[in-house]
Amino acid sequence: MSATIWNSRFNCAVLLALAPLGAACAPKPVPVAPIAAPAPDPLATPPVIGAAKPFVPPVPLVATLSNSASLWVIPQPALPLVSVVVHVPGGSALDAVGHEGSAWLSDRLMTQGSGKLDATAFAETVERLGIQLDVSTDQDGSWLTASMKKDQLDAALGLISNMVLQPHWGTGDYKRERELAIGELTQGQQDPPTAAAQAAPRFWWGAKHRWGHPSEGTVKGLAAVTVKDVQAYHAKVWTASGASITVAGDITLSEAQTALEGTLGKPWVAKPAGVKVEAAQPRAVGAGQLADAPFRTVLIDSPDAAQTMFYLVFPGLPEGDAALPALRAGTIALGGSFTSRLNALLREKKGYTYGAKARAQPLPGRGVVVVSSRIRTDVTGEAMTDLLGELKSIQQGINVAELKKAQGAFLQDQVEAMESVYGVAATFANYQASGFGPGQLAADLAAMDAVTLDQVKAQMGAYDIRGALVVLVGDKAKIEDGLRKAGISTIEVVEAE
Amino acid sequence: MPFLPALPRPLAGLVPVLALLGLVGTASAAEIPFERYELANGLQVVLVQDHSLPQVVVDTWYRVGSGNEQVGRSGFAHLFEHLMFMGTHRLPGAGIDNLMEANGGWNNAWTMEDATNYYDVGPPALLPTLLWIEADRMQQLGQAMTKDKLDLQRDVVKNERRQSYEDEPYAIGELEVPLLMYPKGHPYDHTVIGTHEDLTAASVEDVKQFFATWYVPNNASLVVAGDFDPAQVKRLIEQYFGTIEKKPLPLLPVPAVVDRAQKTRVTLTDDVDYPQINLYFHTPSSFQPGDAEVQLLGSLLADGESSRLYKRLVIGGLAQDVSAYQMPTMHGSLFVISATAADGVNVAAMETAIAAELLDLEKNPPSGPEMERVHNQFDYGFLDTLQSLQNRAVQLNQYWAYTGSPDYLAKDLARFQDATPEAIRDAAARWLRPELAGVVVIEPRPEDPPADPKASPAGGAK
Repeated sequence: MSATIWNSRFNCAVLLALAPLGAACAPKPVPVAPIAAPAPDPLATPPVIGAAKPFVPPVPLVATLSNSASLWVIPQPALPLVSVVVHVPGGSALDAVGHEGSAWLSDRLMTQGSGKLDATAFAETVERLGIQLDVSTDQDGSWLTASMKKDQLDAALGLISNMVLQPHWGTGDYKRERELAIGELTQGQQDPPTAAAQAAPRFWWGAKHRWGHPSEGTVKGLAAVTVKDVQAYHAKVWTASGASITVAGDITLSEAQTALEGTLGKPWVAKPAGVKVEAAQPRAVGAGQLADAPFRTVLIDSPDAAQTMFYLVFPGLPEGDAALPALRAGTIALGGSFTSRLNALLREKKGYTYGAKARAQPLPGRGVVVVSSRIRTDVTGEAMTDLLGELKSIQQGINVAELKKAQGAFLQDQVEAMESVYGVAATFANYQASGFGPGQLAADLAAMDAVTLDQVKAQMGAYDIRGALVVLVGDKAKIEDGLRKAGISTIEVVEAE
Repeated sequence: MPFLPALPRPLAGLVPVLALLGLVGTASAAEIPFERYELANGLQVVLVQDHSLPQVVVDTWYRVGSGNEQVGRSGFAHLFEHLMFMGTHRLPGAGIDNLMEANGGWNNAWTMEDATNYYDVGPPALLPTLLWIEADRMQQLGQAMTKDKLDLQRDVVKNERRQSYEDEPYAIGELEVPLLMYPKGHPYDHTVIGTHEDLTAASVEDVKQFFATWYVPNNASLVVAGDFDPAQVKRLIEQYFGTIEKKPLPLLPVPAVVDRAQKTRVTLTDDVDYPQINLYFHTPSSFQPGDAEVQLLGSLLADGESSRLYKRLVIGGLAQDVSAYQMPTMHGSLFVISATAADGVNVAAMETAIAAELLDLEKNPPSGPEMERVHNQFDYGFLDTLQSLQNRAVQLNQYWAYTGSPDYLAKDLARFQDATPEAIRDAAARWLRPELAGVVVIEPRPEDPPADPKASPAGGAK
């Protein structure tokens, strides 16, 4: 032991000092009890991190039903669960001006009775079987998702088939669901993140653009939606032409084909007039910019708010763009994790916020990048200055550590999505609905791995603040001075809708 | 009596837990095999292998929460949770987050009345680092605490309070619940988020004392789940955690059972358009007799469009939404029924309808189809939840903390499976009587008259 050796040497040295000249330091047994030295600190240094284990994502098995609907199946037999996702192109982009919310209400009504079941009987049947059922609408499509124990799959598909083929559109159900949808929208306008997200499309795309309103519609639009509107949407969109079905869980391709053919196959006739999703035209940098402002800022006034909601929109990239992985990496470095630049500055250094986020959202034809945070009211101006500084700084690119972190975060997100059968089904349903092949997840992972610093710099350098839209929800009277000091002197006060 | 139940000695070896699924008629089965042991310093360890994906989870559960806070220090346990990420002498600054994220991992934590839970997620190669990080901060977080760190996280937590309660529609009501439902001096007589004043009052000495008292291995449980080599992990756990000193835990009195609200009603105003009513009831503690029946009552009453309250309130045109659920805690739980009024409906109409539905349970216990529904919904939800590695880790830690053993999954399922319609009816009759409720009403804030009647409206969030 090192402690024992040290004590022996010390004692010999003392003897040498005290001995007459010429005397030898003869080793003698010294009755010194060994003193235990501190044990080495087992936590002194962090362990070495070993080589990464490869992640091989599943690849869906592909088939086509007799009605031309595309089918992807991802067998996951670990638990007796199955998730089914049905997508049809359409969405709120088809809403007529003044009738915003038609698609949303139409899809919502699919759960309010079909076949021989009225709304109550339908809900009782679905819930008694323990089926998790949802129909939702985004700007370019409608989605039906159902998750269940495997032994309820056939029953679930029978119900889904009736929803698609024989919805009821009962007048009472229509009125009630429309009122509920209006109530939800109204409540959302009181929630700052929801209010900002719902207002942003109006100012980003323009109120008359087909993407210029929330997928949920507007209060005014929903009030004008008629039964005829919702029926027309369903008849146009819910056709097997262009439909894609994704199934994950304790099921084989053959089982899925058999179960689906009799429910969403042969009985579901394909109509030639399926909806084709249009790509958005690129939005010019500076579009919507006011002559005397660095970028467009709109404010929803919320007197006495303790925080100001920031919601910044920048031009992004379309789905499938080769540069998307680089944009994603840069955006993760900006605001995609606890240690991202925005969180490090606004949360951890300045204490202005509970958190900040940035995400790249690809869309057909053109995507967006959204940066959001909720900032203490009294430091709104200072935070805006810091935020703009960080956006400028990241135009110079990111460093190696940030790139590695972004790549790791992207990989981990995909791994976690594969934990549940619903996560697997939803992931691949998105790929299928966007027109990608079954190997796209693996391709995306490889592409992210291959991103270089130069590629990120090229993408982040294209962030141009002059093309941004800033939506704020906060107390106008308390924040406008600070914003002016941050260089934002032109603020349009707008209604939430 | 001790505040915390004594921990039983651990079982040795592999304990396969059989979770019988298909509670109504189906006999499929799933297992969550785990291995459990205890270090000499009292740290509970549970290992759950799952090699289906290249990822691991480290979930560390400390049996301390807002119920252990001193008077005048509300919010402290949660503030402390934030401080656990502020670095140690070995790994200073934002080192914890930096090291994890640099290698594909991430983390987070949460605090409740009885516990604080920290979880780390990442690729298998990161597991030794995750264990090292958890051991490092368990051993010496307090030594590295400074006022600068405390001040910074104090600000972050106050921002969290603003975001989650002050600017969140209807959430101010939640801040009133502790005083409405618990007598002063009860561990749950204040909110987990705390008040601005108490957060401001927290000192570095408080942090060090809290750490020294509660963040000790014999008050913690560590679940490692995922794709790992158990021999290597056991060696690392012993190496990293084994030298951390055990300390005596405070013996705290068990609070008296509270069975009714302290005040009957609180009415608040908020920047909302529709009134909301929230009824709170005292109900059995987590995992205690009656808890499962009350949880199933939540499903019976408001889970789905065929639930009783949904049909009466929402289909009946009185409300836009309704929810009902148990909030389980160690020293008595709360059950809440919440409904937001439909346009033009007042609170009294909703309250009358809710009371009628609760009283009706006595005459009409759950029917056969209703029992089938609540069981199947529970069954699917349970399976669905356990697909997540992180959820499995938290579930086993929760079993340990509340029942004394992670080996509780089969019993947990059985208590729901065995709940009868009569037991559910009796639970409602005993705990959900309208006269026992504490009621929080949120009314829309009256609009201020405009200062200048001629001025045009400036826009608003409504």
